[in-house]
Amino acid sequence: MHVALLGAGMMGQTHAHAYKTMPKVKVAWVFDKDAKRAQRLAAMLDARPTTRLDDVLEDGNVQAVDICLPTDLHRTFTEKAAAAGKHVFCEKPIALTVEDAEAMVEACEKANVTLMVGHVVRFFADYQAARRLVESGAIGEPKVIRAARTGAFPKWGSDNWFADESRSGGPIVDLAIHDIDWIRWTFGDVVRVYAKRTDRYALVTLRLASGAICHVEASWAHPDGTPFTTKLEIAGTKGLYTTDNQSIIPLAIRRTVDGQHVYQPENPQPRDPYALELEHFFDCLEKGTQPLTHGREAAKTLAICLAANESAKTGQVVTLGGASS
Amino acid sequence: MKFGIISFAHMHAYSYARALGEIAGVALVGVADPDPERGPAAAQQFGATYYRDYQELLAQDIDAVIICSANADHKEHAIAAAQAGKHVLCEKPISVSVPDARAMIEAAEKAGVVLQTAFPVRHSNPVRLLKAAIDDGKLGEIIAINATNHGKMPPGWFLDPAQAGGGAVMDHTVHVADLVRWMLKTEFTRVYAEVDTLLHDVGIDDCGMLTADLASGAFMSLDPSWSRPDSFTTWGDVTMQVIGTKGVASLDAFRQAGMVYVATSPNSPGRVFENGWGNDADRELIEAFIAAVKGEPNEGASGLDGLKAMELALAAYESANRAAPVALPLSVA
Repeated sequence: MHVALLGAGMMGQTHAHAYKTMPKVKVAWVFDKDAKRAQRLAAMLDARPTTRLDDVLEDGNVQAVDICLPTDLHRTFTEKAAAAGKHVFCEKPIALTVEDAEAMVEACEKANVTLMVGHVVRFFADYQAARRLVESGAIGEPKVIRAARTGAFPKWGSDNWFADESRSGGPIVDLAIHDIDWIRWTFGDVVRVYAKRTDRYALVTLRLASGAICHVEASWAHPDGTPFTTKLEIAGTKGLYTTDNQSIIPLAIRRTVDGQHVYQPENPQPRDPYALELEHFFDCLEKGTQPLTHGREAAKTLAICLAANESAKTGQVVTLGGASS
Repeated sequence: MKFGIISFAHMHAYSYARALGEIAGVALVGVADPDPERGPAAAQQFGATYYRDYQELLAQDIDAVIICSANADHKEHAIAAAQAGKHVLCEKPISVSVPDARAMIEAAEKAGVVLQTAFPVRHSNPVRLLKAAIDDGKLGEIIAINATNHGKMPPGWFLDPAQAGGGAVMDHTVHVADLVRWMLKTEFTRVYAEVDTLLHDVGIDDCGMLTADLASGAFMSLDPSWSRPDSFTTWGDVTMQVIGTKGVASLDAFRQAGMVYVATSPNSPGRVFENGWGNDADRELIEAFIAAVKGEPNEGASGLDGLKAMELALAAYESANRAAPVALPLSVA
């Protein structure tokens, strides 16, 4: 299976490391508008670098593209790849509007190619364990759920694109979307949304069709150097589950490097979740099955995030799907 | 200074009675409680005289009372105490309605006695340090707060709407509401809330999620749910993540504890609980009240502070009923 990696930024590099552990997939091209960045990552993957998308689209050996570009480019690149008959793995969020997301889904359907969106939290072992616990019934019916994803502002985006809401969608569409997607997947549909936010911080309350109440915190407002923190709490009719990625540190290494104290906490996933999601994608291509986080699924999650933005903007509650609990 | 306690209906009465015994120059002399078992037992435990009727207690030579009756009874007890010339420290929430709380405040003003609301969390040292950090500008301008005040499901009258005036949202909104007003020196202007009975088989709300706007421009969310199971290692929590323009603070006010694992018998699952060692906030709450009675500066919460905190809970219920945000202050007929 030959894939072209589109984008050699932070996510492109993360995926490149995943591909290094996937012998069945060959990265044939690394595309980036920055030739040097493309070359650097291509060298690591033994791939060809290019700044011309057509090189990728015209290569008949390439079956799929992996889009790791800023969100505002997702629709155009997906449509071009689909038109060229390439399957599409696209980083989250799928797009910035439901209209764009629908267009991407339709373009892929029309071209008869698969579209999967990188909602990678579904592939994290700790979140999978939480979902298994819920399914086991050990804590009863899940009723009050709290999720948080907080850290410093992502400065790594080229041209600081995360800071440009017209490109990233802001903290709900780019960051809270992880937890909102996992919540939807694990606990079901959202019927009502209320949210408050700034350009770097958001608090979102969701009411689910099941009656459950969820709270999602997303922060890019923490000081530089703050460790990226995730928290999850599920209160059920029979019990409570709490977990987070900061207090659970199975290995911590402290060293002195050049006179400076270096603290290195380690909480390794059993397997790189990015590799797991990409393997799932290629597995689906081989078997002709629908990926777990296919385009329509991602569009549904996006719609909730956009409803949260709408609520934050208007100060009103937004009801989804005409239903109310 | 001589104290009486009106009712041991609220379990905090036991903590306050214990604390009174540890403060020099202070004595708990009388306990009034209509419950014929609870009242005399409490009086005996703390070496005080028992009165079945609170009016009898108020007729004694005491300076102040601590009111730990069911929420709906606070008004009657506080007004009677004020009219008898006794200073009043009232358990939270101050009451169950804005007019009732206002009547309590007016009665105290008219009688010239101190009325304070018991918000012990103000007196916890980690909370004080957080306030100092905010006051010193260490966090810059405060943008948002993500808070919880979780608890276990309480027993008895707490589950009776007529006596408690509300469930988890009434019980566990007021502490954080008070902290936020106190720390940020601002008022709530609007609240949206999801409120429901989802976790327990009870006839009162046991969970909720509030999102409030503040006059300062900041916003806040608060989870007041009774979502800690019996097996939880402590009574609950007070947490605040405070997001400022210059920094972020994470408070877990009662985290000062070691873990205790007890093997009860070879075949039982054992028991886990926390062994706390933080400062005695209950005692310092009472010391602040005593300072107020002496006319000294203190960080105790006034009757109005109690009213404002309760008002947020009342507005949250109204919001949940209407499935829409509600403006504060509430317009009360």
